[in-house]
Amino acid sequence: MSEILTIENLTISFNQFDIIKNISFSVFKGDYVNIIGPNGAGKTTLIKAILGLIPEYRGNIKYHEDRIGYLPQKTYSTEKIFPATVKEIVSLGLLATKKHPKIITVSDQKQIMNTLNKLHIANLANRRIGLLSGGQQQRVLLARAIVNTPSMLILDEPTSALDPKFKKEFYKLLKKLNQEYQMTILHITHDISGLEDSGNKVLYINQEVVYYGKRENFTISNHL
Amino acid sequence: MHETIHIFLEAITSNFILKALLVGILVAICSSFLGTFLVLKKYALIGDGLAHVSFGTIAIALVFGWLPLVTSIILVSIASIMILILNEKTDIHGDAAIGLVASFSVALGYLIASYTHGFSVSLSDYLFGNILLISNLDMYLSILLSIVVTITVLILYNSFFALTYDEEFAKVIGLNTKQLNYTISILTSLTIVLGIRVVGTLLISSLIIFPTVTALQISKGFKSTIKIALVVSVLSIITGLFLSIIIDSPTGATIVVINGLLFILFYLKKKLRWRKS
Repeated sequence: MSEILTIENLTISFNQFDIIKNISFSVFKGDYVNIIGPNGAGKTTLIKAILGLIPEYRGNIKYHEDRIGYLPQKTYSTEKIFPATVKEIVSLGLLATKKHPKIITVSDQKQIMNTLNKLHIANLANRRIGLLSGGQQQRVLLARAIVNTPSMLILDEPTSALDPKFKKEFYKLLKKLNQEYQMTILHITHDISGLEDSGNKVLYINQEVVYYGKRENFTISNHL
Repeated sequence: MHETIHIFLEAITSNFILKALLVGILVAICSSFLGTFLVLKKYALIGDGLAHVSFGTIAIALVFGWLPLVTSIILVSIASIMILILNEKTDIHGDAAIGLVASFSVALGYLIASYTHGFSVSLSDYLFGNILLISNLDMYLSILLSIVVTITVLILYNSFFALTYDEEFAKVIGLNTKQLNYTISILTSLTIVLGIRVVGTLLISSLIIFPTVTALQISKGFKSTIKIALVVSVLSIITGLFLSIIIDSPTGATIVVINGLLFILFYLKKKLRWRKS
C-alpha cells in the first residue's frame, strides 16, 4: 500500500503552550484511522493543521495525493434561515479543483446527483438544508465532502449531534466508503463504542502520540 | 387622477428624475447583490457603519476643499479594510469593530469641521438623501460601479457563496478567504457612498438589509434569494421614487417605507403558506 499522508515531528504551539508535541505517523491508502484522546488532547488542532488551516507549525506535513474531503464538527447549516438547497451545498465540494469562474456545469450536476444517490438522499436535492433533520444535514455535508471523490476523507466528530440510530447508519456509510470506494479516512471520534467495528487503525493522542497501530491491538483499558 | 398623471409624465421627462432613477436602480442592483452575502454573513450593519464613516469623510473633504465623492470612496474603502483587520488581528469582532471605526470617523469629521467653518451644506441632504444632489459624476460612477459589481459577483459567485456558508470549508477547498472578504468590503464601500446620494446616511443600510431579508421569507436556495432580492430592491426604488414625486414626500424615506411594506407582505405570505401546509 502506498503512503498517502506523512506527519513528521509536528509541534503546534499557542501562546508559548504546546498544544501538540512532536507527533509523527504515516497513513496509507485505504486506511481507516480512528483518532481518539481526551478533551484538549489536540485532536482537532492536528486535523486543522493537516487541512492547512493552521499556518504556523514546526515539523512536516506531506500529502502524497491532492484531494481531501472534510466534514467539520460544527456547521452553519443548523441555522434554519440559511437559504441554500441541498444541491447548492453539495456543489461547493466541487470548487476545489475548478478554476475561476468556478462554474457548476451540467456534468457537475450529474456528479452531485450520483453522490446524493450513493448516500440515499437524492429525494432531498431541492430541499432547503436548514429545514432538514440533524442526521439528514450530516449526510448532505458528507456528500459535500465526497462529491469530488477525494482520496482522503477527514471527519471531526461528525456523530456528536446524532441520535444512536443515525450514528449506526452513519458508521455503516463510512465503512462502505472505505471498503467499497477505497477512500482513506481520518476520523476524530469520542464514541469509543464505535471503535469495535470501524476502522483498521487507532491513533490515540494526548498532546503526544500515546498509541498508533492496528485497532485489534488497541486495548482501551490500557490507555484510557 | 389627471393631475397625478400629469405629475408622473412631467417627472419621467425630467432630466434630474431620470438621472436619479438610473442611479437608484443601479445602486439597488449592487446593494441587493452584496446585501445577500452581508446579511447571511451577519455583517449587515457594516452598511450602517460605513455610512457613518462616509458622513465623517464628507466633513473632512469639505474642510480641505477636496471632492466629497472621491474622498468618501477612498476613505470609506480604507475604513472597511480597517474593520476587517480589527476582526482578524484583534479580539474586537463584528459589530464592535464596525462601531469603533464608525463612531471614530464621525467624531473626527465633526471635530475637524468644528475647528474650521463647519458644514456649508445641508446636513439633512446627507442624512436623508436628496435626489437633486445626484450629479453627472455620480451617474457615471454608478454605471461603472454596477458593471464592476455585477461582473465581480458573476465571476466570484460560487466563491462568495462558499465563503458565506462556511468560511472554514472555503479555506479548506483552497479559496483565498481574506481576498474575497476584502473584495466584498470594497464593493460595499463603493455602493454605500453612491447609495447615500439616494436615501442618505441614516437610511442606506436599509437598501442592504431589506431586500435580502424580504427575499429570505420565500426563497429556497441561495441563487433564488439573490434574484428575489434584486427584484424587490429595484421595485422599491422605482415605486418609492415616483410615489415621492406624486405625494410630495422625501424620496429616501419613501423608498425605505416601500421596502418595509414589501417585507411585511412577504412575511405574511410565508406565514400563510406555513398555515396551509
